[in-house]
Amino acid sequence: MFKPSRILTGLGLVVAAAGTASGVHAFAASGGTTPPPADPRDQAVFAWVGHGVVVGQWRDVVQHGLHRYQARVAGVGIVQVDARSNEVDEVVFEGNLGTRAGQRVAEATALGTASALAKQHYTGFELLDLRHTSRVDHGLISELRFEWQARRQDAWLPSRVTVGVNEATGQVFSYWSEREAVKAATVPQVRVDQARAAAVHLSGIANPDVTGPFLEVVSLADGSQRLVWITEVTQLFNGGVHIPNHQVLWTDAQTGSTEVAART
Amino acid sequence: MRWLKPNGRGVRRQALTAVVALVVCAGAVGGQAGAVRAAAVIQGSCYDAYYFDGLSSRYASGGCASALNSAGYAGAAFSNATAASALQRAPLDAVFFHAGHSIDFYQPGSTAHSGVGLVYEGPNSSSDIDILAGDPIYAAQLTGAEATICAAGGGCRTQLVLTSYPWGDLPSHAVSNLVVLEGCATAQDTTTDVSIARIVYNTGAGTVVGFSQDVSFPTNADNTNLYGDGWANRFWSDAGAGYSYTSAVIDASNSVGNAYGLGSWVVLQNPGAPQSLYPAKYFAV
Repeated sequence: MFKPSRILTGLGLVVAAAGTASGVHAFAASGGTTPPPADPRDQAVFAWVGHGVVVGQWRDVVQHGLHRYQARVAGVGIVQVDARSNEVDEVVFEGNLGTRAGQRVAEATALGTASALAKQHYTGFELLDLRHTSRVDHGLISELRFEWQARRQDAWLPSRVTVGVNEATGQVFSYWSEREAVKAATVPQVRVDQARAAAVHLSGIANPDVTGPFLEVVSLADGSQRLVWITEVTQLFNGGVHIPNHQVLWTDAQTGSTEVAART
Repeated sequence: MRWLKPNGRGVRRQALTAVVALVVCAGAVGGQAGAVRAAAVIQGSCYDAYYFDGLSSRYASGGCASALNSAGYAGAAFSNATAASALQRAPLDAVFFHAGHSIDFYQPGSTAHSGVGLVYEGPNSSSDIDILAGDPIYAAQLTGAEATICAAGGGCRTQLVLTSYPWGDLPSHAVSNLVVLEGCATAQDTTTDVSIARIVYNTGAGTVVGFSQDVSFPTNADNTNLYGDGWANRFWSDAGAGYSYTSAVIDASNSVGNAYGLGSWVVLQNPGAPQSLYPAKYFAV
């Protein structure tokens, strides 16, 4: 449950919120000279949001084997902080989810909004490439999604930013990022055509629709990294009722070993 | 690779079927809702499986049940349950979760498809499969269908769909708080077919979560916290923490990089529906 623990104001005021039993950080305020919040996670939220907020209790979450802290911030929504750096790497703006009514904003306008936000908050954003732009109908809302990702020669790297814009309002409703140092080699020893042939063969699909392969440095649950060719192989059907057969295959770009990483 | 041949009959949704079904259901909702509200325990059911083709969602249901229990529901997790047992629990389910294979109708000459049923593989994994169907037309037409099933890397065999049960239009869905259908195209409608998520939503469920694209789960690997596994873990962790359903869906999809179809989430929500698991309750229209 959401348990407000403290209020941060524009002057750095910290006030215990109703119902708070623990985690209250109280310190005095005096305009312009107020010490910052003691908790670095609160500092990060304050810097990001930039106005008075109520931060819920932090909880641990794990993503790709790496720890994050997450809290609900009143008036905003979910905020997530990288436990290593205290960088805010996710914000869900719940107030911007409200409607799918209204005129659609132009994709270029939404891109401008998304890139401005990402540039403001993601250090080194200018080094990322825009990899995907997509429009996704989520029922409640329609999203214009923009995904930027780091790249070294042909290899896509783990560091990335994804911003979701409500197509009806032009407001950002989701910001999500990753920042990871590259530990794996990024030059493949296996060629793209070799990876594709190995993936199609292993899939066992006779009538395939093939996407990729794309060269990526992937982070594993144990914190290690691998350079892999990722190929998606889909069974094509000519009508009828079927259980979808879509396989995601990884070919190790150094050894050539191929595996089905995931499937539908 | 698996395909189903529904006894040579074309499977096409008749335009008026859903409308007629809704009218019929509406007459029964009051009595069903009354019976459900009288229940002392607010029930939730969570299903996953380790399928014959290597797809593993086997640890998804545990997080669901844990979240439900922390929110005051009587949550229960089932791996490789039969569809018949799920159907038996359905009338009292305030929350329902299925992670795993769906069965889909494909349009001829197109890759467009709609998830019309949930695939259950019982404890005897080498035997046959059952289905909980969305649109009732599929319940009738899929029973006894032949399925050709191929594991990744080959090795195909034929087996029968024992029974396809009508589930999506059960009157009890009118008091369902939350229905999460984590499977391929479970919320993708096509020009001729209505998805299972849409059927449940039209029947009156509070919030229905599905996906418009195919979603992937780990293969021959349990509890990896990747792909569909990772999505389920984060979603139920968030829901148990009191996050709104929509925020939990967005966070869960972000946590897996919006990849492998999991960024194609769909939330269908009826007016007045509960926004989170708290407090434990049914949703009555």
